Order: sequence, then structure tokens, then C-alpha cells
Amino acid sequence: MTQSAAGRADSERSRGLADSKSRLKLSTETVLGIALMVPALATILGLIGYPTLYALWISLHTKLLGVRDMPFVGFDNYVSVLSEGGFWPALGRTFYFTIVSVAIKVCIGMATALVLNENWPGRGLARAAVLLPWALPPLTAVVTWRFLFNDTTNVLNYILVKAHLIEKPILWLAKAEYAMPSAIIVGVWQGFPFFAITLLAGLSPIPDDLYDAAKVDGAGIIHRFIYVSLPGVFPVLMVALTLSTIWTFNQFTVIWLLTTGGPGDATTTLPIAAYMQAFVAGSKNLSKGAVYAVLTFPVLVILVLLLNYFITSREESEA
Amino acid sequence: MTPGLKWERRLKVVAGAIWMLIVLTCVLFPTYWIVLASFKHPKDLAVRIPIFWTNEPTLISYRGLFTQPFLHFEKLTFNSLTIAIGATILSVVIATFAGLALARLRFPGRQRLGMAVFFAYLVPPALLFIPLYVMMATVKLVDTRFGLILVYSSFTVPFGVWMLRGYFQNIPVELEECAMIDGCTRVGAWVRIVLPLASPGIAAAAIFAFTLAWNEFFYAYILTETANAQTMPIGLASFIQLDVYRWGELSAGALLMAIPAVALYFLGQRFVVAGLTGGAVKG
Repeated sequence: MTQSAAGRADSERSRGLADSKSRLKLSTETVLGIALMVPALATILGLIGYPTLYALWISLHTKLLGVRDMPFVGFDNYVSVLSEGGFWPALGRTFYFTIVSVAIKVCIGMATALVLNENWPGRGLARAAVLLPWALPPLTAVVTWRFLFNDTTNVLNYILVKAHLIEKPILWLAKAEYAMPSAIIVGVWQGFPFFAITLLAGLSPIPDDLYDAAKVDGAGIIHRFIYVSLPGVFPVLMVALTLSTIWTFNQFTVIWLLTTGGPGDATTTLPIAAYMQAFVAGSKNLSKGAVYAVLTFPVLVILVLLLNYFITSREESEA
Repeated sequence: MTPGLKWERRLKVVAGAIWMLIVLTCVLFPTYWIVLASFKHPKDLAVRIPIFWTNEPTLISYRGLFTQPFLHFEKLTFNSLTIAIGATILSVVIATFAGLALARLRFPGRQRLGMAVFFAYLVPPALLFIPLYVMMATVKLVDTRFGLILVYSSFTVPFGVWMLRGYFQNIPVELEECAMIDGCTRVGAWVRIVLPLASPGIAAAAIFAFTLAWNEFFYAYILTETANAQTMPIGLASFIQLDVYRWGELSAGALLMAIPAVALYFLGQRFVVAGLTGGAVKG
């Protein structure tokens, strides 16, 4: 009796102690937490938050490369960019490049993930090989493809003519109508492994029982894909799709190294146009470049909101 | 198994094999070609009928890479290494602090901060390059290695925080609670228990910071002007823009640049896939 009473008093006391301790801990936790966040927050605010606003600021002034003065001009830069005629075609090309690239990437990535999800000898090696283009530096990937496309080194054309897939050599990068497809080919080559690997990671936890049950119900291979694989992989697919769309929409390196936006302006997407305005074209007008960059911001915001929605809805479905 | 299913199974195997064959050819042939090209004799490179094999591999192209007076390949390599290592150290330290705070401490705004860090990673260079250039020009950090290290932390830090936060969350809290009952302080428990357990994750974060910085082209292209700070991709890109292509040296350089990136990527990649699909993206 006394023992249990003493025990109760003891546990009571320790709970009181824990309570006061946890209240104390809460404040030290907050202080420590914020202190530990300071360097990361400073980096993000200083190198992402502030520059984003500064881009807006520059776009409302006239800032020329190498000129200190920066007079305020309001929306003049927007008016001239939107009326000069370069913007809308560049926007169209960016959408074309993004939609076609991402569509092909997701199809190839999904098909590859489905095969890699089956059990067969050597699939570990195949998985590693599929990852290779994604792991390469973009410069290496582009140099490789410029080599293949080039008409003096004559590799791709030689193979395609020999295989009777084309009748005569194609000027992949020099002809306006082939330049964009060529850029898409290289972008897809580097980008599809991201889909293959994330979708594979989304497919592999789907239990075999589900497929077996569908088989018993008489579902063919296509029905099993639509009713078992696809719903299982859907959350991962949506996140991968949005991420890839953001990256593809803002692709600079691959296009620039492959075609520098040419021939003419055949592959001048918005990031390329922004760079040209700021650093290449006659006046080197950083403000006009900033206008191009700022005008892509709504697209980014929409994509980020979509991503946020997919991530939170996945969390709810998991909870 | 009914005959129908058996037939279907065979079809699936054949289709799968054909698909994998096509994909692997498309992936491996270009890679094979650039490796081969770097070991070919330069006279065998730009020929009407391409040569698909060489019996006499040579290092002429590699030697040429290091003896080009205008390329400064050693200097480019040095700059790439310094910048990538600098950005890695900076971001891993910052990201470990923030990752611990977000995964282990309860403070107001924590959830939102976690999400904000992830979205910060998504703000593209295409939006930031002009303001960052003006900022760097104002503080006279254009064409310096330090300037690039700073700018690179704009993507290595958010990426590292996001990755390490996920990793720390997967280490059971009970472990450090035990250590604290045994008299460790919270920070002491982190240093003695959590950080050692998280070392594979920290190593992976370092690997990815390094490869992201090592591969980066756009910022380096804008923010460097001379061999003082130019990195390997910038030097090699200037090779592309020459009128006469030096395919041999170009292949050799692009390949040398790819080797550390690919090797490190394969060391670290399973962590990123696990992070992306296992919930590290969560807010």
C-alpha cells in the first residue's frame, strides 16, 4: 500500500518534472531550431528569394550590361518585349519543346520501368545502364550527340541510311525543321532515365497478389496495367511529371550547347531568348532579359502549385 | 495456366526483350561512340564511312587536351575541383544544421519552412541568372571561384536540406532519447548518435552537391570570363564553337569530365531514389 502510494507520488513528481522540463525545452527547441536554420535561410533568401524580387525590379528599369545607371521606366520593357514579336514565338517553342519532350520521356520511361520491374537475369545491370545518360554531365551528353548528328563525322546518318530508315542524309542541326526535333532527341535521351527510375521505384512496392487477383478475374495484360499498375504508380508519376516539366521548360544548357538557339531562331526557347537579350543581342539589355524571365514565372507558379497539390494528396492517401 | 495466359506471357517476354534491346542500344551506342572516339587516331574521326572499331587505341587526343595552349585544361580541372569541393563543404554543413532542425526540433513554422526549402530548389536558373549576375558584378565576384561557390549553394543547399531532412527523419528518435536519459545533451546526442548513423546520408548529400556543381554549365557560362575561374564545361564548350571541330580532344575532355560525375552518381543514387519515392519530399 505505502509502497504503491510512494510509487504513485514518485511518478506524479516525475511527470511534473517532465512537464516543466518540456515547457522549458519548447523554448530552447525554438531557439536552437531557428539558430540552426539561419545559414540555410540566409542562403535561400539571399540567393533565391531576393534575386527573384530583384529580377522584377530590374525588369521595371533599364539596365544595360556594363552600365551603372538604372533609370526607372515602369512597364516600358514589358510593352516593347511583348510587341517586338520575339516573345510569342519563343513561348510557343518553349511549350512545344516541353510538351513533346515530357510526353516522350514519360512513355519511354514507363515502358522501361515496366520491363525493369519484371524478374529477369541481368536487370540490375540494365537498370544501371539506363541511368547512364542521366548521370552524364549535360556537356558530355551534348558533345556526344553533336558528334552523332554532325555531317562531317557522319555517324547517325550513315547508320540510318544503311538501315534504310532515311533515304538521304539529314542536316540535323543546320536545318530549321530538324533542329527542334534534334534538341528534343537529346533532351529525351538525358531525361527519360529519371522517369524510368522513379516509376520503377513506384511500381516495385505493388504486391504480386494484386496482379494475380486481376489475372484470376480474367484481366489481360493491358487491363492489368490500367487497373493495377497505373493506380499504384500514379502519385509518383504525377510528382515526376511536374518536376520534369519544370526542368524541361527551363532547359538552357542542352539547347544552347546543341544549337545556340538556331539555326535562325528555330530553337530559341524562353530561357535562350532571355540570355540572348541580356548578354548577346546588340544592346545587351539585362532588363529585357529579365522581362523574359519574369514572364515565365506564372508558368512556374502553376507547376509548383500542382506539385504541392500532388504531394499533399499523396501524403493524405498514405496517412 | 490456361493456354491463353501462356501465350500472353510469351508475348510479354518477347516484347519486353525487344524493348530493352532498343533502349539499351540507344543508351549505350552514343556512350560507346564517344569512348571510342577519344581513343581513335584523329585522322579516323571525320571520315565519310565511320569506323566502328579501332585496333590501335592511342592517347593522342588525351595528350592534345593537356598541350593545347589556349585551353588551359589543368587550370580548368583545378577550378572545377575547387569550386565543386567548396560548394560541397559549404552546403553539407549548412544542410546538416537545417536538416537536423527540420527533422528533430519542434518550432513554429517548421512544416512550411520544409516545404519552402523544397520549392526553393525548383526556382530555375533561367529566372535567377540576370539578378545573380548583377549582384555578383556589384560585389565584384564575377570571374572568381568564390563567386561561383556562392551561386552554386543556391541549388546545393536546398537540395541538401531536403535530402538530409528525409534521412534524419528515418533515424528513430528513441536512440537519441536514450542517450539523453544517459546524460547526453541534445546536441551531444546528435553528435554521438545521430550524425554517425546518418553518415551514409551525409555522404550521399555531399556526392550530389559535388556532381551538381561539377556538371553545372549555365551559371559558370555567365559568371566567368577567363581561365581565372572557368570550369571544365566552359572550356570544352569554347572548343565546340571553334570552326574546325577537334573531335578527338573534345571527346577526351568530355569523357574525362564525365568519369568522376558518373562514378559518384552511381555511388549515391539509391539514396535519392529512396528519398524521392519514400516520402522525403513530404512537407
